[in-house]
Amino acid sequence: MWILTLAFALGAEPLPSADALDPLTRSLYLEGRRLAEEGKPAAAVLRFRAVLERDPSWTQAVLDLGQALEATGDVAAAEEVYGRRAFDADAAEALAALLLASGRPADAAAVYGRLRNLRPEWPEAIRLQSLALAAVDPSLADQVFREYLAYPQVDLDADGVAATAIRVVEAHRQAGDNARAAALVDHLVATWPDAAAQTSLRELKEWFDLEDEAAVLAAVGDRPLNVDQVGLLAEARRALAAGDARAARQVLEPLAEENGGIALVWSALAEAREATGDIAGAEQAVGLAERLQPFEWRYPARLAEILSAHYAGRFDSEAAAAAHRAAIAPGAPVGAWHRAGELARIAGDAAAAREAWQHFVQGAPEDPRAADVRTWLAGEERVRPPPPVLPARAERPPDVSDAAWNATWLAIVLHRHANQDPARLHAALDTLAPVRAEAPRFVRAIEVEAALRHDLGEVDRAIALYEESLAVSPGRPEILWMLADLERRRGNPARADARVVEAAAAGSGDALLAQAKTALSAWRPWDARDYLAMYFTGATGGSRTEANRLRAEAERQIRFVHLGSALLALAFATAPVAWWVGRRRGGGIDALLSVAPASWREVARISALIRHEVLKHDTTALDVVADALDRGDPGPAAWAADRLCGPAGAVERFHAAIAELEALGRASGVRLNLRYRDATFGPLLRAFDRLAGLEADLRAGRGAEEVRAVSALLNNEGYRALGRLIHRASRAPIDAAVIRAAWSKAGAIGEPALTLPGELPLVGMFPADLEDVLVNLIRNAASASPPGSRIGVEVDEEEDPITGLSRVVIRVCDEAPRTLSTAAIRGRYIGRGLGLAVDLISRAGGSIHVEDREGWSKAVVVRLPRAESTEEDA
Amino acid sequence: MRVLVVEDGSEYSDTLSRFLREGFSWTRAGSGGEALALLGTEEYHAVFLDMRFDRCAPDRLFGNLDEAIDRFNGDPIQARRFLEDHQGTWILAAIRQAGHATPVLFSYDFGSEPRRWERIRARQAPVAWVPGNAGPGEIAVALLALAVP
Repeated sequence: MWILTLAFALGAEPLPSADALDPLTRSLYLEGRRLAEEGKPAAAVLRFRAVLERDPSWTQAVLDLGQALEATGDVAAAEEVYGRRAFDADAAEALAALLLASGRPADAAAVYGRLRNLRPEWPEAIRLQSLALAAVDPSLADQVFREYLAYPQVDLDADGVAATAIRVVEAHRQAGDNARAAALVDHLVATWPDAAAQTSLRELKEWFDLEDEAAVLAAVGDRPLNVDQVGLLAEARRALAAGDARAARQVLEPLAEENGGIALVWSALAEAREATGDIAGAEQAVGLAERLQPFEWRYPARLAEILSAHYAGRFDSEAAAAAHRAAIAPGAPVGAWHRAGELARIAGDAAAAREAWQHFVQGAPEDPRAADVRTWLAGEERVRPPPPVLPARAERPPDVSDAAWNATWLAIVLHRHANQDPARLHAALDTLAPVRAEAPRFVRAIEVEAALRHDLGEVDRAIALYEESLAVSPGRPEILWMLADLERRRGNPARADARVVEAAAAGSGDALLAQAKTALSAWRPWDARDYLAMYFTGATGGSRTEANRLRAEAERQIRFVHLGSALLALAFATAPVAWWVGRRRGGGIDALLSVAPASWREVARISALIRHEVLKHDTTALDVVADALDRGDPGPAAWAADRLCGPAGAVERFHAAIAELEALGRASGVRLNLRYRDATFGPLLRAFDRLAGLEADLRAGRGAEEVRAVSALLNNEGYRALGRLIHRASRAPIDAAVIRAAWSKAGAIGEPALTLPGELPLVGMFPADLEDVLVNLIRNAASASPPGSRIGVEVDEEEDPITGLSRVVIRVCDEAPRTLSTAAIRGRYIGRGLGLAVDLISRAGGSIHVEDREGWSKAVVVRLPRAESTEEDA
Repeated sequence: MRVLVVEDGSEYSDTLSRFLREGFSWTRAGSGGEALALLGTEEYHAVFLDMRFDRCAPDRLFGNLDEAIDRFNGDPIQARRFLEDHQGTWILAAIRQAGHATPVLFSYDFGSEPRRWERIRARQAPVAWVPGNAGPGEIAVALLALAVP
């Protein structure tokens, strides 16, 4: 409904005909319009002034003159011109918009008030008045906004309505009137329960609920620090001031655990964590501080700085939001608005930046930074979206009627004044619709619609329209280049590349330079030279400076290639032999374990490190990255490029672990050839090579399929293969045969008295080590026992209730005089054989004790980790 | 869904908060003590718990170090490593002992230790696990299945 109303106000009113003017005035006016459309506002101003001197009563010329003056940046003159038609609705609307954008909301509100009388059928004036009043008098803004809401056709989801509501609510909050802010939100939530804008309003409501929660916590749960704790906090602050963040953190971590409700402690801890590199911890701590004291501006301000400084731009929007929360918090210095503006600008939110900096210059006009901010604001006001340019009237195609021709002009003007406002963009589309129906092959109209669709975020539709215009009038380089850009933004790099090729062939300078750059990055300098030759022989667009730079780079690469050719030829001649030898020399992990069985522990440790620190922590995100690429979201891929391929990334850490394994091999005299001779690490090495090769694609936002393939190799096959290796290296069965073999090896006489459980366990130990332990324990018992006495071996199992882990208990019982004790073992007052067994048990994470055992004189009890059997064993 | 991520580093909280924003809010606790403090002040729908805490200060580890030293033939280094490697189970036990019935999702591959998992599940339900190679999507599904049975 509102779109229609606005369309009526902006578009349905016909452009005043110049036919009624005398020929000279008409000619001047049309020339002024042409100059304005061609981006020459100063020249247009002269023509429009001349028109008004000849016919001062013509309001359309006043509006055109005001817009031209705005375009030159002469705001004061534009204001004066609009002011001449104080009782013309269009002039009043233009004047109010100008005043609002110039940071004069009180004046704007007054003009909107006048506009309400001039255009009583248009309630939008009431909404705009309340928007202007929000910066001046929140109570009055609230009252006016509620008048607007009372109109029956008002819809909360209409453009600008929810934003106005939120602006008024924020104005209440800035004025400290939380009750009135909450009342307005409640009113909106209750009146439009099904509106899409409910999400933002509910978020606002949630914020008020948080305030209530904080108030409750302040009343009942926020115990003050005692004297000792205050001393600790002071000590930590001193350490922080002295630059010793580690010491500060040691004091603050337990203090925070004991006093979870004290924001001050969390805030100091955030500082200490940030200084010691624990950024997520710092973010969490300061976030908690903000929740505990949401009215304290310093906490969101600190959070904004952490997010801005440590995440390489990934969380700039969140940083800007936090800075905004800081700025609106009661008691915040006006400088907080300056920072909020800076962060909003960095995050690309020009509207928020403008609003924040307007607050800043109003609150601190004398601040040294205010001059720069005003300059920025003034520059920002003048920015207009680049308008599509229509050909001169004389170029009107014969199959396009006068009415369609004028309507196309009107759509262009509306687009030019839309400022990305969806309602105005739709009004332009409505104006253009009859043209498109009447003259579907009118290229200019097709492109105007494409530009409008693009501004409305309908990238797919815009692309289809540009393609339609190319079908009518093919081979235009600027349109092909634009399509390349749109395809890239839509996440179709292949189609974008194809468009670049077409644009280059059609003579687009930008496309030729892009092609040359791509060729150079792939070390194809001759191709680059060809593209640049085409550029210099008369392409349109593109930077000549950049072209010269690329030409120099191409020549440099060509010289380099010539120089290296001879060396490469030599290398190629010998490469096959070196490759063949390299693949066959050395062995895999099994070769190392057969030569040096004791190295299995290190192999298992390094394998676990790769599995845990590289695969589990990093590469598991690859599938999600691929999904995001499919959706056209390049953010996660850029993140993955840093995290996986960047310095200290997953690829680098994996190769460090491989180097450690190779060093382990060298220390045992084994040359490891893991890439070609090992079934576990060979595929992993090749998969990591592919991951490293993906970096450029990830940064360019493409390669979803390859990302998914590498993910499968690493996170499924690689992860499981490492698990099997670790598992295989660290378990040994214990049964009657194993014990009898050890009995025999120990030289013991007769038969052991065996007591075994029904289900025989696996011991978490290398099999050869378990045998050594059993042999030495049996030998020790046999040598101490009188002839003919018994020796028993019992196997049992114990469970740990907390960790859920089981241990295998092996008791070697004898009837020898009791000279051995746990203390003697710990103190190493034992023979060499038993000492070896103790070392092996300790390394396997086990223990050894001497205990009483009924029916025997003693039992040497060994407890070792139990390994579980899995389906893979079967 | 509010989830408390308990880990000694920031890998999970960083990755999960980046890839699972919609419908989830993530808070990180760096130790068992911090987790208990947060559970006492906020209500969470689930806890996502890492197993290994080898970057946590020794005095912040849960578990009886003296008992662990005896378990490892008097070796304090192995004892500490044992507490670090299985710290998640002590944190889980402490959460239950403090009276919190919040569902807990372990990040640990119990697939090769089915008996051990049965014991933990029997004592500390509601619990579930995802293997270390689970991506954010699988973690989200497991959390939802656990918290919204």
